[in-house]
Amino acid sequence: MTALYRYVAAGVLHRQLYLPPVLLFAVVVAVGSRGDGGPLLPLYALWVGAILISSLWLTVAVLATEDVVQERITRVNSRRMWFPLVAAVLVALTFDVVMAGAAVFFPLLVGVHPADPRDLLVGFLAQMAAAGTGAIVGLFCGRQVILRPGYALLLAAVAVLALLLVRWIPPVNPLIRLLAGGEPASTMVGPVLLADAFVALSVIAAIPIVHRLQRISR
Amino acid sequence: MKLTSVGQRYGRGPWLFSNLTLDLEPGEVVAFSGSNGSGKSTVLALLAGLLHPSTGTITGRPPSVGFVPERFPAQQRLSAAAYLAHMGRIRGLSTAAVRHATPTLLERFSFTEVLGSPMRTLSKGNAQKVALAQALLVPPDLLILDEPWTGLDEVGHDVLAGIITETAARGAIVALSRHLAVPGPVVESLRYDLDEARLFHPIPSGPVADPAPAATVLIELRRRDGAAPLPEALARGLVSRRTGQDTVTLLVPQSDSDRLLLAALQAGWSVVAVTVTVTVTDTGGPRDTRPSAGLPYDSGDGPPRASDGDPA
Repeated sequence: MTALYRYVAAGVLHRQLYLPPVLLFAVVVAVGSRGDGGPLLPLYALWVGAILISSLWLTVAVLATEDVVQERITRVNSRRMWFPLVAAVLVALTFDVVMAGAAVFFPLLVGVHPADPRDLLVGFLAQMAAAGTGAIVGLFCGRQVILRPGYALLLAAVAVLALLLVRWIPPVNPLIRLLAGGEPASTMVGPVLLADAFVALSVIAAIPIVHRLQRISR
Repeated sequence: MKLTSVGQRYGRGPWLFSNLTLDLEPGEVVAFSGSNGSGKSTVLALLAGLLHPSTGTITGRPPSVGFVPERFPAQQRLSAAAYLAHMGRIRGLSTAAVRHATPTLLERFSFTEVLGSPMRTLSKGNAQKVALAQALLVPPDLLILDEPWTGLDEVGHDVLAGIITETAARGAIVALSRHLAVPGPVVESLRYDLDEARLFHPIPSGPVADPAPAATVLIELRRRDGAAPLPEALARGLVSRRTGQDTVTLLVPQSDSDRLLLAALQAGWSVVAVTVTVTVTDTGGPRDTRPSAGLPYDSGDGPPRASDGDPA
């Protein structure tokens, strides 16, 4: 898996497909960071929404790094044919970790905020739950499942809107409301960890489904 | 490895093939032939495990599979050396082992470019050699080659034929597709024609190093009304059948051609064209086998293109 991760990461870095989603997130964080001394958690609520979109885009980009034929070679060479999907998700999540980590600290660099370490922890974990959710949607919107980019874009847009706006669809909307609700971070650690665990299990469940769909498409 | 009643279709599209049952023993070299769109590449994708068959089962797939596509899209910025290093590591080799194996393999194929060059700058033939090398970095138990004779030069043909023979001799299964209008050594011990849904036992070209291979003749026949089925002796040499028309192309040894032509005429078939295959042998050099004239194609049909409508 390490070799596969290195190969996928090398391809992504060479083709620079990560740039648009990373720049989108960076712009949201830069514009959204205010130096008004307000609490950090409502800012992090905005980052949660932004990283959902960026992670989805990143995952689709990582999955599109290889040509279809080259991807077939890589799948055959992997010990398990679903390993490349795992590697793609891990590479996308690596970018997400860097983005979420930077976004947690960025407001402290450009302004003065009351900084409780638990705020930073909750902000980071909440972003990772959203990033994982974006990765799951990205897996289903990738070329491996949906051959036509137009349909993939449509599905991605519908999924993002539903995840952001529908109150009862976990975990992004509930997390945004939680972070923006004005409660202290100490009360949020449990729910945020629960969301992370839910997303991690969902990612693990999604990979065999996507692999199965991939094997019945062209 | 066993294929039992395997059938494949995409979505609600037509069946490419159905009820394909084959038992592939270690050391077997099997070729899949057929017209464009008959499903040759799809069968290979099924054998590799890339696709799940619409019906039937495939069991006993060996753990180590080498896969060489028909067209290797070398669009990567990675160099050939870096790409092969990645593929070797993915297959479980150490970086040092890949670095040791790569030059030997590529040298055998007469790879003519700098290993450090970006893959996108490689010629089609050299890119195909990189594709072959990645499949052979770890000796595969199942080697899958999609139309391997296209894109390679004559030296590559001979080297590849040798590699196929060696791989089979090791006890591995080799599966390949061939467009039979494309010249290439006959290395297979079995051929399954997807248009015919029928197994043939072709006559292999013999040892690759044979300095004087037998000349062959391409015969195009058309079935007349009331003609009997193709005689068995002729059916063994069948290389392609045009779907929807009663026209077949055969590749037979020149020494047998008169006898086989007579058998075809007696069975009620009409001879459309006969093309002698010229064998040029340089002194100690590579063998170059090519038809003395272009294959006879029906008007409007055009020569088959490597990827023309061939799914997957």
